Amino acid sequence: MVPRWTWLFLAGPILWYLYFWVVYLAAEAGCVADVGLVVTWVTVVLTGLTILGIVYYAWVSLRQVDVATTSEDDGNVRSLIRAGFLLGGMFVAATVSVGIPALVMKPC
Amino acid sequence: MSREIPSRDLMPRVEPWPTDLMLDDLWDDPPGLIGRLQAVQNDKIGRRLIFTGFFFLLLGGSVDSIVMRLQLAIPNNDLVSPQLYNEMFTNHGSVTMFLVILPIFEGFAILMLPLILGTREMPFPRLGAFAFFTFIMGGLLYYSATLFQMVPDAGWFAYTPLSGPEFSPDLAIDFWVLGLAVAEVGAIAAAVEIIVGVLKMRAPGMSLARMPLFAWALLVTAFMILFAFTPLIVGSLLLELDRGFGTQFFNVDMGGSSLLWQHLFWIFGHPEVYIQFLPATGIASMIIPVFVKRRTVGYVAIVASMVAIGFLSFGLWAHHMFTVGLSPIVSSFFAGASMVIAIPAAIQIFAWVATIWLGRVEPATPFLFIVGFIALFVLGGITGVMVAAVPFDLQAHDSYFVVAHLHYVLVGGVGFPIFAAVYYWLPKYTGRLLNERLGRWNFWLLFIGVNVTFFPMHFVGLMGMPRRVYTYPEGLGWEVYNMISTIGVFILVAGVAVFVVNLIHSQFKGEPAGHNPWGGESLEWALPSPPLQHSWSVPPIVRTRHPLWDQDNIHAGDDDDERLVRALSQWPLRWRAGLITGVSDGQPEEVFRVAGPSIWPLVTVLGTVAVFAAELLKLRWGALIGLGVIITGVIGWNWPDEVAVTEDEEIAFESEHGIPVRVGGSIKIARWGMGLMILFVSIAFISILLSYFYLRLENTAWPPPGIGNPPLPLAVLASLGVLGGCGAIYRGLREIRTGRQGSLRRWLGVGASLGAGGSAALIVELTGLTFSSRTHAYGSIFHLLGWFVVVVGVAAVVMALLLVFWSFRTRYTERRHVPVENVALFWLAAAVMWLVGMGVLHLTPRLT
Repeated sequence: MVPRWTWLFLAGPILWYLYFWVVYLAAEAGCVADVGLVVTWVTVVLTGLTILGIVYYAWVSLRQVDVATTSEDDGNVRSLIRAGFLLGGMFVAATVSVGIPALVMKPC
Repeated sequence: MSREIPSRDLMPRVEPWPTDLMLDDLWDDPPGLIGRLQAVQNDKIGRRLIFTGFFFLLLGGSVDSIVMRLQLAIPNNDLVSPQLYNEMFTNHGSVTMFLVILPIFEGFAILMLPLILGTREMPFPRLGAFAFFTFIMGGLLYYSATLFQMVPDAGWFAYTPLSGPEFSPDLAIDFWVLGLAVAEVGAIAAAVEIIVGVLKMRAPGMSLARMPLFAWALLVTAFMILFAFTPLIVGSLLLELDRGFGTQFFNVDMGGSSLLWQHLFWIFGHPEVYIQFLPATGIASMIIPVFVKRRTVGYVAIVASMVAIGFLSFGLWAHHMFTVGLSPIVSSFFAGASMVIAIPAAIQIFAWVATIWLGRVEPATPFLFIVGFIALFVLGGITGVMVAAVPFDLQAHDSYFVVAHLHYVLVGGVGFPIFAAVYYWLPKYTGRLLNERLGRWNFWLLFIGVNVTFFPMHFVGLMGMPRRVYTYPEGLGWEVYNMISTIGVFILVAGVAVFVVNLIHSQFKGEPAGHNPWGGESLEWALPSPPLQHSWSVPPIVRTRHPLWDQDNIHAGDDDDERLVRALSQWPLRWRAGLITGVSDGQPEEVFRVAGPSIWPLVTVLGTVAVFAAELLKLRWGALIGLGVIITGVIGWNWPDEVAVTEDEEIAFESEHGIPVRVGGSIKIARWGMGLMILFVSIAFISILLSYFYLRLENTAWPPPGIGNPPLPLAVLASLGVLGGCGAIYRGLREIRTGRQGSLRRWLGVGASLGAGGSAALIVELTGLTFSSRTHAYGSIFHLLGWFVVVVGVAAVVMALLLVFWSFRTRYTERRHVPVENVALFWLAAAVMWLVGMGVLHLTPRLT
């Protein structure tokens, strides 16, 4: 029901936002339970997985840019997918920025 | 299509059309006082919203700030008392954040979008009227506190416990909570209108990638309003329940958490800054290309940046809470996200600078304001990145440095684009230009005034002056900076005065604007100034991102589109026809009947205000009357009225033009409207769930000692009832899709009965619990979540019963059954919420 371009356009921001909430809630719960090491590992692993996920969809977007250009489309979907690719780049940066402190600081 | 930008005289313009007057008359609102109260037309609603914003700006934004600056001009001043000062800064923040910028931008959206997008109206004109009435009445309800000498004084963020029943026992904070909550409902209503308008009502051929950046900005903003204001409404509900009903959400002694309020407030409060900033970027993106005669550099990057800001802004809220003792890693999450948002903001700024760099600048007043905006916003943005760093924020928190930062962002980054937009677009509606000389005076006075007022605040903040103090002692070195800031405010006042003079001057002596005074490239500049009520007799066809620069004829396109837009100029002439287009490609999908003038939005708002005012006056029975008025209003609002054409006529048009005519209501629009309503309810539900888990984390025992686990049998029975009801409703939907109205009625009845039974079972459980909502925060959140799903279930039952009632008055067919589709969708959402809610309430205490 939801067209494919919607996902390619919004995959980066959506994955990042899900990631952000999961690591935030995990940190809140983990620090209450006093399991700082678990918080660190959850954050690091999820940061890696999210980056992989966003990069994967950015790569798919890049491949789809040419495929999406048809005579009827007039470049519309191609522009949206290009925007999705740019969003992927921005949200990889956002994920790194949010997750990297977990490697160097005491969590709780 | 040429890439050269044509001269202004050669740009396409709309010429008079034979059916102009008939359509203008059809789309006009009724005359007289009653007609004004029934008005729904987008230009009236848009202008009213903008005036509402400026009205509250004069009340709350201006007078308060002048008096506060006079008070702070010299040390140990006693011009106003500490109490009055508290009331003034509370009012200043509350009014500007809730009642000024939002109605102005939502007003601009409702006013301008149909012209810019090449359509005749917004999709839900009555919802627009509802939004206006809620803004004005909510604002007045809030302001009525002054009549009773109970002005709110706990800051615009109303932190608990200061705003709780212990430290603010009178009604002042109730005025704040309840008055502004009414306005928040209006903000959400207008947001729904904007989302569906931008996505589904555009000119044929205006794909998303050809959509003007102002529309993109408003689309992202409207989604943000939906996601940001709903948690605040939930937070306000919790606060009012604590204040008026004795619940314990924010009472630390009873298992509550004062930080829960801060989370719920700032998850609204920080996106709110971007909710105000994004439309400003949309305005900048519209104005810059026109005044440098150069197509926007980096259109796709700007769109991506707007979307990125929309998402990132929901991951920053706790940077307002760095000093409350968050764990280091949580602080680092929010600091990281707060710094990263500078990237998409900077991308936009570089795109604008590149566009200016590559163009030929014509420095008219709108352009000057945009350049001023860029300069001031960059300054405010840089200090924003500074306060995103935790160590710096720990020093600067609650100091005048933050006051400087936020005023550079909001006055420079939001106020300046508003002035630019008025200079740019007002001539379209008045038919007269504003004076350029006065415009330059206006700009320079404001630009100098902003810097003189707010720049010294950086220094005085770094020297340690805290915000929200009514005076300060001598000898701290703060005197000179405060005096300069106070002088600056009077420069700002002079700038605003010049603006007012210019508006008046323009009305009487302004030069005629003509169709396109600036040589603009977007569709609105093809129309006469002022435009007709319906804007477009022949809807335009868009083939490029810059239609007036790149198209010789804005009514030429492929044959099907040309025939369709010409047909729409001649038929129908007895009812208001709007064109629905595809979300992505902008291709025509449906012709539907746009709702006309109605008194019911006003009635519904009066009911809403009555509910809130009854709580304010502690006349709880009054809330029931208000609820009755709301239900009456909603039923009247949606009452099926006479269909002006037969199904045969609809089918005839469909076969000629290939798209359906939906006089009984658009399936696509209705689906979007219902989808967004479900989204709103779901966000509220999720906000309550998160509050539940937050309180769970704050308590070592859950339920607390002395309270047993909640009973399961009734919960299981209730859930089965609602699930069974949902199944029956869907069975009814299947029946009407094959045209069987009798079966539909039967299944709707079964569904309503099962749903009512399920709701009754849960009500029995909630009223029979051994703990009350006052016992402990556990009891408070248990009752809130339980009653929330009851309300959702009862709403679903009422909808099903209304369908049964309407099925006796109107004939649902396989083509005309939009309400059944909508109600079924709501039932599905209700069933999901019911299951999740029951699971959390009854399994969490057993599993954690």
